[in-house]
Formats: sequence, structure tokens, C-alpha cells
Amino acid sequence: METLPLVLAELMAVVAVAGGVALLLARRSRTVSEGREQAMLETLHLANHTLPYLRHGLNPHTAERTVKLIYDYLRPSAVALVGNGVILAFVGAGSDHHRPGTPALTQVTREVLRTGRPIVAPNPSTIGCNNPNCPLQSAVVVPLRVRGRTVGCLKIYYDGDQALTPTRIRVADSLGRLMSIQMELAELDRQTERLARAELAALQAQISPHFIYNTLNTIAAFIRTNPEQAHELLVEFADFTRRAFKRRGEFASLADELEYVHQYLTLEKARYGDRLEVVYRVDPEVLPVSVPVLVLQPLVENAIRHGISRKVGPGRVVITAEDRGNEVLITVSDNGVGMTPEQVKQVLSSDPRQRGGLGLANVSERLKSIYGPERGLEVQSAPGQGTQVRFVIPKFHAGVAVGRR
Amino acid sequence: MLTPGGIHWLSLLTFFGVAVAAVGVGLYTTRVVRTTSDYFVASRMVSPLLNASAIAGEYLSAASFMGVAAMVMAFGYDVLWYPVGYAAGYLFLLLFVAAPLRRFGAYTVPDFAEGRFDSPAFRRVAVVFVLVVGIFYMLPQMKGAGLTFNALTGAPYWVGVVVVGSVITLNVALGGMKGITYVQTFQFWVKLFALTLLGLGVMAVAGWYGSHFERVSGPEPLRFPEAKVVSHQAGAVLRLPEPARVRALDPVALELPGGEVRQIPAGEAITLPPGPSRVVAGGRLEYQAGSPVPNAPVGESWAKPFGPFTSGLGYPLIFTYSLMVATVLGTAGLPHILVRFYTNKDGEAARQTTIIVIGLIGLFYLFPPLIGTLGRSLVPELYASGQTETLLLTLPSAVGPEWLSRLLEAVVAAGAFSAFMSTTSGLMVAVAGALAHDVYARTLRPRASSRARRLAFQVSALLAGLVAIAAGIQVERFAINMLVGWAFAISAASFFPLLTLGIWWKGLTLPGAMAGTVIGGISASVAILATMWLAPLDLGASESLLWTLLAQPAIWAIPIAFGTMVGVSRLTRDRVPLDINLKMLRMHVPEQLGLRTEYIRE
Repeated sequence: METLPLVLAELMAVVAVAGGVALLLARRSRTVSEGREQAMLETLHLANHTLPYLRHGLNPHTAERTVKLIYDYLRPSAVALVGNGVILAFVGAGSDHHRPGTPALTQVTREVLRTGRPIVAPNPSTIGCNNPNCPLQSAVVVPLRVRGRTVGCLKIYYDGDQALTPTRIRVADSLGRLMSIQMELAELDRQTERLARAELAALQAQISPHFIYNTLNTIAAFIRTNPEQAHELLVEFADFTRRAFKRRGEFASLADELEYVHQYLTLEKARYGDRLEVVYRVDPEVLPVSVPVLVLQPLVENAIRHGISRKVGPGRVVITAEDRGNEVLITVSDNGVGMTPEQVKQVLSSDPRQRGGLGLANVSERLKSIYGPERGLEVQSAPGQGTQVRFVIPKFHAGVAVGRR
Repeated sequence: MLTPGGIHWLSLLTFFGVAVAAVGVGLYTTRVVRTTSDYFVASRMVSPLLNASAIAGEYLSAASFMGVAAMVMAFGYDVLWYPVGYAAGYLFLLLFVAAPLRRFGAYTVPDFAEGRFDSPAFRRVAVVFVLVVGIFYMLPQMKGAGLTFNALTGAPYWVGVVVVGSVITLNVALGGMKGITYVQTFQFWVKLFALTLLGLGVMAVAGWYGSHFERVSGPEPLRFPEAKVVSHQAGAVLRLPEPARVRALDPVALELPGGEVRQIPAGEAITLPPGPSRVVAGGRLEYQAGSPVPNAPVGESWAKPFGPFTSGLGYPLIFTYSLMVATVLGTAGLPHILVRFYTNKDGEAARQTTIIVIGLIGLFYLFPPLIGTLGRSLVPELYASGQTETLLLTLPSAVGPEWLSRLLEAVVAAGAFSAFMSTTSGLMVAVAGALAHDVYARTLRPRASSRARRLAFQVSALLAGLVAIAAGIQVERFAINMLVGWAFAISAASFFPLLTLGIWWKGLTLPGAMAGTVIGGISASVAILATMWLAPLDLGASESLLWTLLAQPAIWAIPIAFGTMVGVSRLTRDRVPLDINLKMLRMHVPEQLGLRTEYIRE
């Protein structure tokens, strides 16, 4: 029984460590000081004026307005906003070599963009500007984060070490957070808009008078020769319109999306007959995965309209969904006429004037805004070689669930 | 034609043949589907029965397939808690975890950690324990592989680990996800078929279970029913309850209980005195019919609680409870099992699946204890040679006719390979996925292309395989189920509190959950590693309470983890996620209420 005290001692040590951690965590939120109140006032004042600009997202125009306001109010040495590694706006000392539109020059900026954490740089060497005559002495650099990703940073420069008071650091930090929230809202706006556009495009494509006319004509042709099939197509058509009209929510299961595509293809096949062959290769494990609604149908439609319909002779569309552990790889390929590199660029371009395929660009933008900039569509194509469009979706992504509105 | 290990070539053929068959099943089920069927998607959905078979296939590892029967033979009643705990774990999964987790949409525990607390940092912490549990759980599979390969071919232990480990690793790295549900289902039925056939086949020839049990569970020492030749290694200890009459077939030297070293020339017969004799120079001894079996526990203690497995401990009751807690609560946190629940359509299907899993696994576990008892009765020489762990491969040769022995052996070999392959592949996919997805794609190279991430997965699988093989070679001395029990204990101490409180308690905060997971996981891991280092030193400390608590840490590590989570969460009340009600709603609202439907259904 000599070991019993040992065990007790060990248990007590573990409990003590746990308690210590707990106390430390609890204390963090309890200190209130005057500096904080002043910081709050300054932040609120600035937020009041700058936020309306950022509601439109981060671009050189909104950045310049924001930076000027901050500069006028706080009167630091300089203020800068960086987005995607490029200076969007810069006001104050050092503006001769820190020019908007050029890549960010300082070490500290790159560090913040990489880590996504705010950094206080008390002297020129920690700022690390590659211009030896740079007049900037000290800086607070705070990241701007949208949906967990660092998209840019706000930098406020001061004269020297002493100028970096805790209050000023807090103001910068709070400003960064508020601006991030505002940009996130802007991003949500854009996403909603894109979704609305996608739904509209889908409705236009499928429920347009043209589509109704084509489908009804196809059915009419079957009524005498094959009444059974005409009946089936009509039921399919009715069900399809019901789905198209009543579809809602931002995400659906892959199974539902495939079913929707399948229904769409049934109607298209009635029209194309033997000219269209469809092949599915779907790992059953990935059917329950949540995907953004209407990501698949535009790709299939694109394959038929731009690949198969312009081709002489029969064509084939292959739809695959492959289980890759934490991710799903989805591809839609056709053996149609294919595209030149310029055409590929065009269909993925988000500029509506370069319109080539609104569907693809829209899908790609939505994928990027939900899952990150590297998760858009990858298009592989060459004239005469057919086209393959592929994208990867993680099985779990924070905030994504079927039926989310 | 026999292999050098004395086992028919047919067994070696089925041993590897089942791997080829599994790959074939995978390729066949993922073939291209040309369809015009209206019910295309519905027909492809994984049904609860199919998914349950796949889960059972992935779950029943070398520990269940060969370890439980071997352990029952060696230790008897005491170790019945292992299969009971392994099966009962699914009851906890059913009651507390399966449906809410599925509704939440989390694929892995790190997904849950991140999504429930909106914290990528916590995700990384959880990934660390996925790696720890995953690697730990691969060790017993490697041990089973080395053991089986040795029994089949006579090759050294490490050769089997390397060969089987490499085959499985390469298969996973080169596309082992192909048709995984069907592959795992196939392997479940192979394993169930093998054990059923072995149990029924042996009993059909050698008599039913009852007669064997009666013979081996009495107060008398276990005796050889007929003369048996046993090969002894130098260094082995023969503990005899009574004098035994033996004849040496090779020159053998023994150190008798008195300390006298006795040289026995080949062909000479002597009577060994009771007590422990140590083998100085190894060789074959022939035990006469009716002589006691060395090292075999007495039937009475074998067939009762606190028998040979725990009687050497000062605190067998604490040891047993701790083991039960670990095996029952650990299932929910096993990285390769949890991911399979994601394949269910919804929470409802997840629950149905779990119920079927309990049925399938319960059916499977009928046989290992039965086979363990048959082994004690029919191949007692394994006690003498210290090779009870190879019971499954030796038992077939104890029953005639020849063709039946060969057939049973071949089927068992196939089942054994299925067992290593299914569990190791599942774990390797989970570990490589965590490395590629979390460590590479989210931390090292966030902008990596999908092709680069694919390559990262393959490299990670190779890496995981290398680690498993290298560590697997080191664990030959530990019983398979001890190793598995430890993996369960780490999983139970780190993930079980996180999942239960995270799903059922609104008040859980990020600091609380993180502190509890880390403290629970680390204390269990440290205790187990300490046991693994100290056990071979034979300090004679097994009487102490500390030893029991170190060897089976679940009973104190889980309460500490729970306590830390609750305590720290109360202290950080202001850190409860703001959208906690929405999250709870998502996890707990039944599908029928239609919170998730995206089409209006008439």
C-alpha cells in the first residue's frame, strides 16, 4: 500500500495543473482599464465612418477611403491596407516607395498574411522594409480575416517605440476585427447574389419557353408511337418542374443533386435519343455528402450544350464522384468538340461581358467563396479532345450542412 | 506439399488470395454504371445492413479474430470482458453518439471538434490524438501478421510484419479506397465464415463444446490426453503442478526446481519434479499420456473470475473495471469506425446501422470463447510451448481427417489476413487522411492543388505504414488484446468525454473541451507508455495499486477528462459558442421534423 500516496500525489498534480489552466483562461476576460474605454470610443468612432465603405468588399477604391479616414482621425505616421499581397491604399510618410498596386514591401506584412495573427513591430528592423531610407519607425499590423482565411491586413505606422501605446494597439486590433466582420458580410451578400443568379440561370435554362416547347414537342411525338413512354416523360417533366420551382436552401446532399441531374438528363435524352449516352461512376459512400445546390447540373448542361450538341455523331457524358477519404472528387467529362485554352479561360471568367458560360463561372465562384480560393473548378480541354471539369469538395466543412438557408 | 512452417501451401495461397479477392471486389463494385434506371441514385445508396457489415468488417481486427480465442485459452473467464466490451461499445455509440454526430455532418472527430467550437486550433489538437490512437491500434494488427506469417512459413516474426505490412500499405497508397464498403463487407463475411466453420468443424469431429468444457474446468490439473511432443526454446520455464514423465527426443538441459542442472541425452526418459524448471538447452520433449501440462492454469481458476489473468495483481477488481470502461467507451473514438457512420443517409439510418452492428458483432463473438475452450482441451501442448497465441492456426491440425484439417487451416488463414487487412487499411486511411488533409493541406501548404493533395495522401499512407511496421516489430512480447485495450483506453480518455459532453451539454466551452481532451489523452498515453517500458523489466511491482492504475488507466483518466471539461467550462462560461442552440438543434432534431429537407415533399 506504500504506493497509494504516490497515486494520490499524481492525481493531485493533474488536478492542480487543470485548475491552473482554468484560472488562467478565466482571468483573461476580467481586466478592464481606462485605456480600454478610450480605445473603444476611438474604434467606435472610426467604425462608424469606415464600415459603410467596406460593406462593398475590399478593393482599391474602398481601401483608399477607409485608409484616409483612419489617417485623418488617428494621425499616425502612415496607414496602409494590403489585400492579396498587394498594397491597395497607402497614406502618409513613405508613400514614395509604398505605392498602391505594388506588392507589399515589408517582412512584417508577409508574416501577418502567412500566420493570420496581429504583430506589433516596435522598430524599423522588425518592420523589415527593403528600402533602407524608409521613414517608418514602428507599426501595428492586424490581419483581415474572412471565413477563417486571411485576405489582407491593416497597418498603422507610428513615429517610434513610445508612440505604440497599449490603447493604440487595441484600437488597431479592434478595427481589424470590425473590418473583417464587415467584409464577411459583404462576402455573404455576394454569395447570396451568386446563388440567386444560379437559380435564375437554372430556371431560365430549364423552364424557359424554349425548353418547355422542346420537351412538349418530344412528348407529343411519342404520344402515338409510344404512349407508355410519353406518359412517363410527362410525369418526369411535371416532377422536374416541381423540383426546380421548390428548390431552396444553400446546400443539398450529393444524392439529391445527382437525382436532379438524372431527371434533367432523362428529358434531354428523350430529345437526343441515341446521340447521347450518359455514364455514372459514383462511389456509394459519398452520396450523403453536402454540396452547394446546383453545382452539378450546370456542368452537365454545359457538357451537352457546348460539347455534345455541336458534335457530329453520338456523344458521351461521364459523371463521376470518387471517395477520397476526407474529400470527394467530382468530375463531368464529355467527348464533344472541346475548347481552346482561350475558350476555357472565357467560360471561367467571372466578367459577365466575356460571357461564354455563365453556369461554369458561377459554380466556380461559389465553390471558391465557400471552400477557399484553391477549390474552384479545374477545366481540362482541347479542341476535338472533349472536356473534363473537376472539383473537390471536403466531406466536412465548418458551417456547411444540408438544408442550411 | 508443406511449407517450412509445417503448414499446407493451400493456407499460404488463401492467406494472400483473400487480399487479391478483396481488391477484386473493390474494382468490380466501382465499375462504370451505364444506366437509364429511374431509381439510379436510390439503388446506389448504402443501406444500413450493408453499412453495418462494413463497419463490423472494419472493426473485427486481429485482436478479435485470433486474439480473443487465444486469450480465452490462456487465461479463461477473466478475459471474456474483452469481447463483451468490444461489442457493448456499440451500445454507447448507439445511445449517445451515432445519430447526433451523423446529423451534425462531422466525418471525423477533428471535424466535430472544429465544427462544434468553431476552432481550427482544437481541430489540430484532435488530429494529434487521431494519429496516436490510429498508430497504436495498428501495432496489434502488425503483431498478428508477424505471428501468423511465422506459423504459416516458419519465417522470423519481423519478416511477417514487413511482408503483410507492405502489402496492405501499398494497397492503400495505390487506391485502397476503391469500393471500400463492399470490400469491408466481404471481409466481414470471410471472417465470420472462417470462425464459424472452424468452431463447427472441430466440434463435429471432436465432440461438442459441453464435453470439452467439463473436462478442462475441473479442480484437477490439465493433463495430456495422449503422448505429445513439445518443442521447448532455451530460456522457457516449465511450471508443473505434479511430477511429469517425459522422454527427450533431442539432447535437452533443464535447471530443476532445486537449482540442479540436468543434462538429458536424446532418447532418455525422466520424471520432472513439480515446480518451475528452466530450459537451459532447448529441444523436443515427449510428454507421456496423462502427465500434467506445464504452464496450464488449473481448470477451477481458469473458469472463474479473477483467475490467471488478474490474480497476479494486487487489485484485480480495479483492473477489470478499468478494462471494461476502456473497451466500452473507447469504441466511439476509434478513427476508422466513426468515419463509416458518415456513409449513412441520416441520423435515423445511423441508429439502425448501429443496432445491426451489435447483432453482427454479437454473433461473431459467440465463437472465439468457444474456440478458446476447444483449444484448451485439444491442443494443450501450446501451454507448454508458450504459443497459445497461434491457437487458431494450430487447432485445425488437431482434428482429422487430413482434408478437413487442411480446409479449416486454409479458411482460417484467409480470415486472419482479412482481419489484418480490413482494420489496418481502415486505420491507415484515417491516419493518412489526417496527415494529408490536416497537416499537409491545412497547415503546411494551404494552397495545394487537388493533385498535390492526392500525392500527399499516398505519401502519408506510406509513412504511416513505415511507422506501423517499425513499431510493430517492437511489440512481439505484448498480447494482441493488451495492445488493443490500450488503444481503446487512449481513445476513451481523449475522445469519449469530448463527444458525449459536446453532443449533450450546451455548457461545454472550447477551453474546457480542449483542456479535458488534452489532459485525458496525455495522462492515458503516458501511463500506457510507462507500462510498456516498465513491463519487460519485471520489477515485481504488479502487487501495487499504481501498477494496476498505470496498466489500465481508463478508470481514472476518463473521470479526470470529464472533470476538467466540466470544471474549466464552468469557469469560462462566457466562451460558450453563441450559436450553440442552433448546433444542438442540428444534432438532436429528428429528420422527420423536416429541418433538413431542401425540397418540399408532398
